[in-house]
Parts: sequence; C-alpha cells; structure tokens
Amino acid sequence: MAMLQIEITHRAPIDDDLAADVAKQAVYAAPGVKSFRWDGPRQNASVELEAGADAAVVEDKLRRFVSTMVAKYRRLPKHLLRTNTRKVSRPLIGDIEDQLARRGFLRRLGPGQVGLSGPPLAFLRTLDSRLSALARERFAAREHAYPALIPTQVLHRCGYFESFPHSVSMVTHLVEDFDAIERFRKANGSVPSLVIPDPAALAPAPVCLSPAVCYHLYQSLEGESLGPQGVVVTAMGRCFRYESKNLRGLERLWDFGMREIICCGSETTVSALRETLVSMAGDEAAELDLDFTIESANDPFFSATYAERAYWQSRNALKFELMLPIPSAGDGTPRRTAAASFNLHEDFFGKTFSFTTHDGQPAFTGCSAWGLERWVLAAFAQHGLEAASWPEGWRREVFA
Amino acid sequence: MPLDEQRQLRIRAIATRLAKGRDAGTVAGDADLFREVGIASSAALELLLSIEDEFGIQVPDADFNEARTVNALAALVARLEA
Repeated sequence: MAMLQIEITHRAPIDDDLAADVAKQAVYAAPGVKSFRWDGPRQNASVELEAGADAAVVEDKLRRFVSTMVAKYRRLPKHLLRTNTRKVSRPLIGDIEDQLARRGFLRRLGPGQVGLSGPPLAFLRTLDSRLSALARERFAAREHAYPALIPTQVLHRCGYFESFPHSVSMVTHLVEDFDAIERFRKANGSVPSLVIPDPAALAPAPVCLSPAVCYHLYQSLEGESLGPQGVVVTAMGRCFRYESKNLRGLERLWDFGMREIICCGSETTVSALRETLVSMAGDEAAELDLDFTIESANDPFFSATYAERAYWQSRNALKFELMLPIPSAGDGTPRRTAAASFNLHEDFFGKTFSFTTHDGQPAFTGCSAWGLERWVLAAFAQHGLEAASWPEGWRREVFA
Repeated sequence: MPLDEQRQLRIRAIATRLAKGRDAGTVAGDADLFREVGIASSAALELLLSIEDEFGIQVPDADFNEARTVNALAALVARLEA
C-alpha cells in the first residue's frame, strides 16, 4: 500500500471538528486518495494512495485543499443540549451489518446502496410512521410526497453547488440524436460496463438527484404569502449524496431515506418549533433506549465556504445534531453518527424563493431531518437481533 | 480627527464592502449591521477577520457576538487597543 506523508503548515491549532471534516473531505481533493489521517499534533498527515495514483499531483492538490479549509477557520464553543444512557449498558455489536446480511435482512446492491427487509425494514418503517404521526398530531403538519429528482436550477438557487459541490449527483441522458444513440447502443451491446463513445452526446444535467427533502417545499412555495401560522410539512424521500471513499454501509449511503419536518413562517414561530423538535427527538430516542447526545454542529461545507459558513452556523446556533454511537470501523476508535439534525436557515430560502410571512416579510425556515438507515444501524448495534433486548414498546413492531 | 471617529470611519468602510449595495458610511452608528444595514449574517466571519486585520488586534468571539453596530465595534476596538 502506497503512503504519502504531507507536512501541513497552519497558523492556528486544528480542533477535532475541523480535523474530522478535513479528513472526510480530503478524499475528494485528488484522484487516488484512499484515506487521510492526521498525526497527533496535526502538523502532518498520512495519506493512503490507490495503485497508480500520482503522488506529486495528490500532494499538490491536498496541500491547496487543506490550506483553503483551515485558512480562516475560527472555533466557537460547542454546546451539549442533552445526553442519554441506555438502561442496561452493553457493548455495541461490532459486526451488526454482517449479521443482518447473513440473515438476508440487508443486501448490498452497489456503492452506497442497500436493500432492507425483515426487522430492520420494520424498524425503519415504524420509526418513519411515528415521526410522521408526531408531526401531524403535534404540529398540524401536512404530509407531502416529492420526487427523487430536483431541477438543477433549483439546487443552484438553494446554494447547494457553492456549499456542497462534492456531493452532487447529476442526472444526464443521451441527446436526441439518432446517430448518437446508435453509437451508444452499439458501443454498449456486448461489454459489461458503460461505454460513452462521445461525451458530447450527454446532455448537460437538467436535473439532479435530490440531496434533501426540504428544497422541494421551498421551491413549491415560490411567490406565496403564508398564513399567520406559517406552513408545517412533513415528507419522507430518497436523498442522494455522493460520498466518494467515505461510503460506509448503513452509516454513509449514497441513496438513503430521510424523513423531514419542515417549518416556514416568522422567525419566532420557526425557532420555537425547532426547539420543540429537539425535545421531541430526545424523547423518541430515549424511549428507544439508545445512548445519544444532542449537540451543536455545522454542515460539511466544502473548501472555501467551510470556515465562513461553519462560523455562521455556530455563532447563530443554526444547527444541532442528535448523535448515536455506532460500531468502530475496525480500529477500535469509538464512532458516532449524526442521525437527526435540527436546522435553522434564517430567511435565506424565504428571500431566494420570495415567499413571505402574512405581514410581507421574507419567511424564515427550519427543518428537522432524520437519516433513517443510520437509526437502523445504531438501534440494531445497540439492541441486537433478539426481541427481548429491545424496549417493550418497539418489540412487536420490529419483530412481528 | 478624534481617534474614536477614525475607528468608526474604518469600520464603516469595512461594513460598506460587506453590505453589498449599501453605503454603511451614512447609516446610524447604532444600527444593527446584520438586521438593518444588510450585511449577511453568513459574512460575520469576514467582518471579524477584516476588523482584526485592519486594526492588528485579536477580537474574542464572545465580545464580537455582542458588538453588532458601528459604535459598539468601535468601542470594542478601542478597548482592545488600550
């Protein structure tokens, strides 16, 4: 295995959050980067290379990437909102995904794609139904359904290409041209993998696979004036984020299910709802008898946008995450996954899509987003595959 | 020109650059830079780093959080320079 050592010079210490986000995003910085690990004092990094990677190219790109990420970074204190410990402490089941696969409950279908059945699917569906019911009963939310596709232009207006260009999944197709389609058909007739004889025959992606559910709602409200109570919607959708070498089982899928509860209205309404959602999520996770914390967080903005937007989110307490412990990746290091997030966007989407509160001001928005497969992973890693180990209120639904 | 006014002028110049399309040179000294003057709240870090560069000081984040107007920032800079 080829390794590359890179010395990183930076003016301020690199804290744990920044170090983790740099390491996670480094795999996007150059072709052939398999992993990126900081040394203890974070003055050097060890980079694992794939066969055939050009070390000089990797070093140059990584050096520029890391410099951009750390240049303006300012750390703000993190806040712990809530913590919970299981009633009976047991070690996490390290090979839970393999156990689910051996029983046929989890099928690995491609990079970042899994099929579920049996108890994990029953759990996912039950959790999703409970969240939907809670949203409808407690917040008078309306249930919506949205496509997996989203117009490229909408994603652009949502700022996604500026903040998360590394994660976008674009959808293209062949241009309407008999000769181009024929060339493609013949080139792909008897070969096992995709051949693109003429890249110009691919249309510039008119749509993308949607990376989040809530963007659809903001688009659909364009130009509207909301009632005095604002709008609360809940929806579950497939979401898509390209995770490069970070794809890792149920923890980090390319194609995953997300249940969102979304609120648009006055700043006060949206903030109050977010607070209630945090409390509700904690109660649900506690009823599931899971170890968890709820804490302040920031999104994994890419490159030059990272420092500015992470600071913005921290300074204004715009993002909290519910973190669940999950099995280590084999090296014994404890791991956690962000299984739900609670977000405020100020009036960004209200201004972008021109929807207003009843008194004519740009509406504020907020959402809570639950990564359903991550809950499957954490719940089964913490409770296992025996019904008796699960909290009583969940046994019948999960193991019927 | 008194030192206080000089500081305010320099802060107004930074604010004008960040409040795209708005001349912060004429806004009231006690106007909230984010809610009233029009600096995007996502540009807070840029404002902080620009002030640190302009005056050659380190501004504690907690103090910066509280100082949301030209007057408050000028007073903060004066305190840190003292």
